[in-house]
Amino acid sequence: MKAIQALIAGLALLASTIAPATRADDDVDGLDRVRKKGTIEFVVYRDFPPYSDDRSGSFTGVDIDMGTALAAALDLKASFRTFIPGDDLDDDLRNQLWRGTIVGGSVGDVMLHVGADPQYVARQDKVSIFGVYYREAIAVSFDPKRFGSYSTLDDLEGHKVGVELGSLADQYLTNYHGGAIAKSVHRFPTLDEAAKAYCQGKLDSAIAPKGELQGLMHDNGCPDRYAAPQPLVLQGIYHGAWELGIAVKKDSPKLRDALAMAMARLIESGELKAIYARHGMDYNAPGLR
Amino acid sequence: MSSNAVASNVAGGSIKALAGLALAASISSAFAGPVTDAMILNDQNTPNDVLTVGMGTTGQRFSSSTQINSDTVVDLVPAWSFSFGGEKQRGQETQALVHDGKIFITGSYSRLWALDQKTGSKLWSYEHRLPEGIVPCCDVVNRGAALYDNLVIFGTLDAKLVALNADTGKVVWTETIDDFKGGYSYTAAPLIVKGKLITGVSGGEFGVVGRIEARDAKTGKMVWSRPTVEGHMGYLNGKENGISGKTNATWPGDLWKTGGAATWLGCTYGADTNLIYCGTGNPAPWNAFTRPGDNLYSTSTVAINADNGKIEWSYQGTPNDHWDFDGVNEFIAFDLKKDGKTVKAGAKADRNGFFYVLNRENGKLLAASPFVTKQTWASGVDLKTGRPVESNNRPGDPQKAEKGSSVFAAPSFLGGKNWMPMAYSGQTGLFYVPANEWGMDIWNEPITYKKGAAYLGAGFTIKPLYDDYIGALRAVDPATGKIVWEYKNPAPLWGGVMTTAGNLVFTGTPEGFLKAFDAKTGKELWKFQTGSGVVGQPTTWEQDGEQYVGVASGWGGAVPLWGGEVAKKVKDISQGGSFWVFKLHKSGKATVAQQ
Repeated sequence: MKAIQALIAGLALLASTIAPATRADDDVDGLDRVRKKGTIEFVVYRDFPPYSDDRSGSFTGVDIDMGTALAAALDLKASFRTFIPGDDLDDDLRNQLWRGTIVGGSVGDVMLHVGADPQYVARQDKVSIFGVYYREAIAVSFDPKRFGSYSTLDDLEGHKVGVELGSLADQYLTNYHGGAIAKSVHRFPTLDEAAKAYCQGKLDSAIAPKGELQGLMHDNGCPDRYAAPQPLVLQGIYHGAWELGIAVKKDSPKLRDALAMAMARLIESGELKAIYARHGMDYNAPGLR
Repeated sequence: MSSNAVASNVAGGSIKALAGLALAASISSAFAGPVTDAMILNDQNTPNDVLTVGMGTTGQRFSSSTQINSDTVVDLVPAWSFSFGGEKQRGQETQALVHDGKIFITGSYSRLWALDQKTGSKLWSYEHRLPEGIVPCCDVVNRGAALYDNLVIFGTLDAKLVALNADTGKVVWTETIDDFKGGYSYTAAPLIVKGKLITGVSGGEFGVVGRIEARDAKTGKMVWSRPTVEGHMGYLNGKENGISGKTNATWPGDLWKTGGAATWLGCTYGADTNLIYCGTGNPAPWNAFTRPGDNLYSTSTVAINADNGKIEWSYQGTPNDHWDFDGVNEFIAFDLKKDGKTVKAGAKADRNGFFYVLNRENGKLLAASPFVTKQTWASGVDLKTGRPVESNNRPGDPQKAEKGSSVFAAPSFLGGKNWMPMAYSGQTGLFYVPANEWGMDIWNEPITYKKGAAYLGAGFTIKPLYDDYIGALRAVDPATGKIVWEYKNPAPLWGGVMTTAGNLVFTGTPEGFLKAFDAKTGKELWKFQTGSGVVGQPTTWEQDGEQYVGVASGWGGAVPLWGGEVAKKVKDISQGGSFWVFKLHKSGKATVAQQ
């Protein structure tokens, strides 16, 4: 709790020290634009439970609830747009926030669920990444019935571990100790599919970002006996834990500040924690630096 | 015949006269009417038309026309130019097709036009409606169409095939190659083999599995499909047709399920072997440490039986690729004359910097030599095993490294040669290879994200090797591997090459020029500024006793997207979209005197 207060203080300090930006006359801050529209458009990943999913016909998920709450705090209506992810976040920021895709080409106002490593944030010259709200970490869950004991990844040998194809978990496990447990890795196009198989007892374990896995285990009705996801410490250059924040185009400091304050209030009031809880997930407060 | 039938049924001299004119017109155009398999196989020998991208199914890009030659080319002047119009002024990598009084040319953003061959005026146009939000990996290009029967067929950025009526531009059939939302796209020119439309798949996104497909060109109905990743099932007429390779022979675990090897540059065909030769892209995931083994059939040339869709042989340039050396480049069949013998050979200039000569009947390696000045990743190719001799140039193991260790590798991932096709002249016996001299810093990048989650990405920074040039058009002797001549270009070369029996080699430059060189010496003989960078594929045809050369102009493609330091060098090049046609100058006085 102390940590959160410090974070909010830090954010407030940041907001107060921002010098008024000098801009060309025809530049309009995103905040003025969304105020005029009365609506703020959030860019969210498509088919991405437990965060953002509209396959049932209406949007559901943590990111949807969070966007709705942020919009309400700004006295605006929230709208959402999904998109086809590019190869990495650089592509997504370019296509969805600052340049637009090659066809259509329009951009959204705010992107949620944005990786916020300080080095990554510093690399950005077109977007601001801020409002850090969550700490995610690669975590393992397993069915205790299938393991005599579980203490290290080596215990996964001979078992079936579900991962999302191409994810950090996939990369790490496949590469682990020169491929020692590579044959245990079962890859699925999405983590949702891996979680389904896991909850149906077709797998012995699943490894994925903690919050995402916890939410999907909840959505897919995993048996209660399954171990809650526990963070793993990764060797080598892998970054097994990271912060999430939000992003707007760099030319909109007013929008950034308004959203930063709104996010700080969501965290402080416990509303964000309640949103995560509604989706069966623990809220993991971001670390401070 | 149909003209006569109309005339006899309709009274009135004027209509008869009109029908007579129509008949005369169709006679004067020697290859009018539906395009047949025989015409396609003979394309290289018929200077009045261009029926295939590659100017023949082997892709030699050689024309027997000699009117424009190393003596006369100084008089080459524009005949007409056609603007693609609209706001989509980028990335014109196409080649024109010429048939039946019409020129068919595709443009970026999945567009296609039919032009009057004589005047350049637009007959019809087709603009594919692309779904908003598509994210094709590597710009908005299209590399040309195919002609068959009365159809013009091309692929689109949203991974569809569209067959249009060549006379009207109306859609006859469309087929979906795959789901664009899953990262699939299509940019290559399709190939026609025995009435079948041969296509690959494009897509840089994770999860794309390469394959070659053959459809009935008239209907779009699937005939066979052949995955280019070991372990996947092929199909023939809807029935299982054996898996490609042997499951888990060269891939660990279930990684083969999504092994990459996208066939994004299409194929060539050798009628004498009945083999379709297709290049394949890099394996996925990018980090080679996660997929020990050769990872077949990634970064390979795969020879597929045209009738049954089975792989007859394959040759892999970069086993267990770690540098993004796609092996998609064109494999061009030619007759290798060496030591008094003629060998049925084929050649490929690979992204990895080696010029490979293979026996095209069995895939056996005959020779491999560098066509770029620097290769850090391998010191050579062992002719006995066919494998590269690696020189310890792989990025570090991410599990062991505390920090991502960066290595400098050359060529860069954009390749000693990228997509732009080379040409072969049977007259000089030389291949003309559009090469680039650049390297890259490459490292494991732990601070990057995919769908909100950290993952281990690849970091690249491309660096030119020399201050004064990046591009180099090189004449390579396939018998010796020696570079006979070279032309250096400041910006990277990104356009196709053509050679003619007139002792000429044509290619375009990002600086905006179409250039002609002496095929034997490499001397630059002619150039013309087209107004935008030339990344298209030149072609040539004859009409009414005159030889024409055509090329698309319009800067774009992967260099401005991925080029790093190089992109800065080319950032001031104007974008564009037009098709230029040239012929030899005739004095105005002479023309009046003729009339």
